[in-house]
Amino acid sequence: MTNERQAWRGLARVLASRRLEGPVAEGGDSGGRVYHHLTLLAPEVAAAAVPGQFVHVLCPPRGGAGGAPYAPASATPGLPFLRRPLSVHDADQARGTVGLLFWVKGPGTAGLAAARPGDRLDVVGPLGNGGFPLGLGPALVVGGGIGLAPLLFLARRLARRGRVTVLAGVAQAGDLALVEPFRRLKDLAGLIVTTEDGSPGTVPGTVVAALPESLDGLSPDGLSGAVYACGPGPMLRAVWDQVSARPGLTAWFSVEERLACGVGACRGCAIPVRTGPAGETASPPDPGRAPDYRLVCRDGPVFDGNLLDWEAL
Amino acid sequence: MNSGTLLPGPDLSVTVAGLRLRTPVMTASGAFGYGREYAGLLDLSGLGAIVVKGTSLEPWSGNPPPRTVETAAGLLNSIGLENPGVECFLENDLPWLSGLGVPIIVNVVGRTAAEYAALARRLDGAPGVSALEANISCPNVKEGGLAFGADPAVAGDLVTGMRRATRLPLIVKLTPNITDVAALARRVVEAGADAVSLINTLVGMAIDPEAGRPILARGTGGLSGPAVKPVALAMVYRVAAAVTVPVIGMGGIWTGRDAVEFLMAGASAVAVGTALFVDPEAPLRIAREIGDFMAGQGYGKVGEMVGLANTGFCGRRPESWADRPDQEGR
Repeated sequence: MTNERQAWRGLARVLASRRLEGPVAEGGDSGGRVYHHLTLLAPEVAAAAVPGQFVHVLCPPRGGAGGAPYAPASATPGLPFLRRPLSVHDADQARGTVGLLFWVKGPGTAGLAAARPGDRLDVVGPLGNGGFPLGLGPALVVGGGIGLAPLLFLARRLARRGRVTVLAGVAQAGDLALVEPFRRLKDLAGLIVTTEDGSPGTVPGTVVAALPESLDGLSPDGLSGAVYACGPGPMLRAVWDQVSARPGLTAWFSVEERLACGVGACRGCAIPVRTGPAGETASPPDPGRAPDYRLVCRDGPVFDGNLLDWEAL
Repeated sequence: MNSGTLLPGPDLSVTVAGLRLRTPVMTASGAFGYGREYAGLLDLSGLGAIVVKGTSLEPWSGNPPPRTVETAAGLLNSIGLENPGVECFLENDLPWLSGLGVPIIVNVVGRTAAEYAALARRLDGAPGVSALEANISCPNVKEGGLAFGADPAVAGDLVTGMRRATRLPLIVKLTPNITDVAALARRVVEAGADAVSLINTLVGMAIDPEAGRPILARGTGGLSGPAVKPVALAMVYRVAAAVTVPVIGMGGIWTGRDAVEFLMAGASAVAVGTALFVDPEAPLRIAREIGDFMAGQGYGKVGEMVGLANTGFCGRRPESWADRPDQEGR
C-alpha cells in the first residue's frame, strides 16, 4: 500500500475517564461548560502520533449513566452519527496510552464522557498531516480555551528541544483546569495564564492582549522564533495579525472545520488557502475569484499561517 | 437453492453491465475519494467495485465551507464536486487503482453535455477504467449535476452524447429530487445507459438556531445516511420495475440486511457511501453479512434474491425480469 499515513483502526480500552476538575477558585464557574479527559490504551496510536494530529472516535450512544450533562429527554434519536475528531492531548509511548481532552458539548462528547474504565472505543488514528513542525529555536505556544487540548503534547515535545513558553488563556476561573496540566510540565521557560474574569494568580484579559509582551520575550530581538496556536477563530486571527507584523517569526495554527470522513476522501472539511496544492490548482470559471481549499483532515489540522486565507476564513 | 451440507458457501459474485464483481457491494462515489485515502483501513481488493469521486475535465475547487453537517442518522453535504480533474486522476490515481484487481468505475461530472461527452471520450480506452457513471444528480452545483438530471429530455440527450463517445459500460446516476424517477430512468436507458444507479442525495437543510442561518455555506446540501434508506429503497423498487437494465441501489445502506432489501427491491448490486465515514470497513462487512444471510436462508446466488420482493405496483413481477441477462439463477 502506498498510503503515506498509516492510521490504525481498532478498539482502544478506556483506562481512565474523569470529569476535569482543577483548582477552581471559590465561586468560579465555567459558564456551564464541562470538560472531560479520557485515557485510552492504544499503543499503535501512541507510538505513531505527533503533536497536532487527531484521532477519529466513534462515540457511544448518549444516555450513559455517569452524569453526562446532555439531557436525553430533549435529544434527537440518531445522534451522534459521525465520529468525533479529537486532538491528541498527550501520548505516552512507553505506556501505550493516549490522552484525550474535550469539551462536553453535544451528543457525541456526552457519550464519550460517559465511557467508563474497561469500555472499548472504536478509534481511527492518528490522522492529520505531520502535525506541528518542531523547530530548535525559541517557541511560544498560545492556546485559548479547549484549544489548549493539542498543545500539551506539543509543549512536552518542544521542551525536550529548546526554550518553550506557554501562553494559555481561558474565559473564567471554572476553566482553569484546562491549564493545570501545563503547570505540571517540566522544563517550561514560562507559563503565562490569562483569564477574562481576572481570576487570582492570572493575568486579566485574553492571550491576544498578553501576546505582544510574550513575543517581545520570545527572542532577544523579538523577531525570531516559532509561534504555535490553537483556539477560537478570532483568537487565531488576532495572533496572526501580530505575528505576521514581525518578520522572522513563523507561526503554525491548528484549525477546525466540520469533519466527516477524517481521511481526505469526502472533501468535507475544506478551508480556504492562498495557493493551490500542486496538481490541484483551481482553474475556476472566473479565474482569480474561485478560492482554493485545503482539507483540515488530510492537509492539516496544522497549517502555516502564511498559507491560510485569513480574509476568507 | 442449497440443501446439501457439502455445498460451497453462497456465491456473492454478480455481473452488472458486463462487469464481473466479486461481491455486490461497491463504494459510492464521493464517499471513497480515489480509494487511496482508505488504503490501510480496509482491503480494497475485496470490494465489488470502486466508484471514484466525481471527476471533471478541469479541476474544480468545490463549495465554500462549511460543507458538511451531521443530522439525525444522516449527513448533509455540500462539497460541490471538488476534484483535481481527469488528467490528474489518469496520471496519479488510475495506475494505482488499476493494480487492485477490482473494477474501477469513474464518476464523471461536467458543466455542459459536451463536457460529459468529452470526459467519456477521454476515458474511453484508458487502461484500468472499467465503466463510467454519469453523475447528473448532484444537488450541490449550479451547473451540471442536477441541472441535467431533473429533466428526462435533457438527461436523455446528455446520455446520447456520452453513448456516442465511449464503448465503456455506461451507468447513469439518478436523482431522487424528482417526481417521476421511473420516467427519467426509462429515458436514460433509451438513450443508451447500460445500468442506472440511485439514489444520489436528497436536498436538505440544517439551520444553526443561535446564528439564525443555515449551517451549510450554500444553504442546502444533499442528505445521505440511514435517514434516507426507505426513500431510496422505494425509488429503487420503482425504477427496477420500469427498466430492463441492471439497477445499482444505494442510500443509507449500513448492514447486510439493508443491502438485501435493496437486492430484493430489484437492485443487481449496491453501493455504500456514508457508512464508510463511520466504519471504513463497511463494504467488506456488508458483503460478509450478505453472505451470512444467504447461507442462513439457503440462497446460493445473489441473483436469486434480486427483485424477489418486487412484484410491481400492479401486483405482479414485471415481465421484463425474464429478459435480464444479468439476473442469474432466476
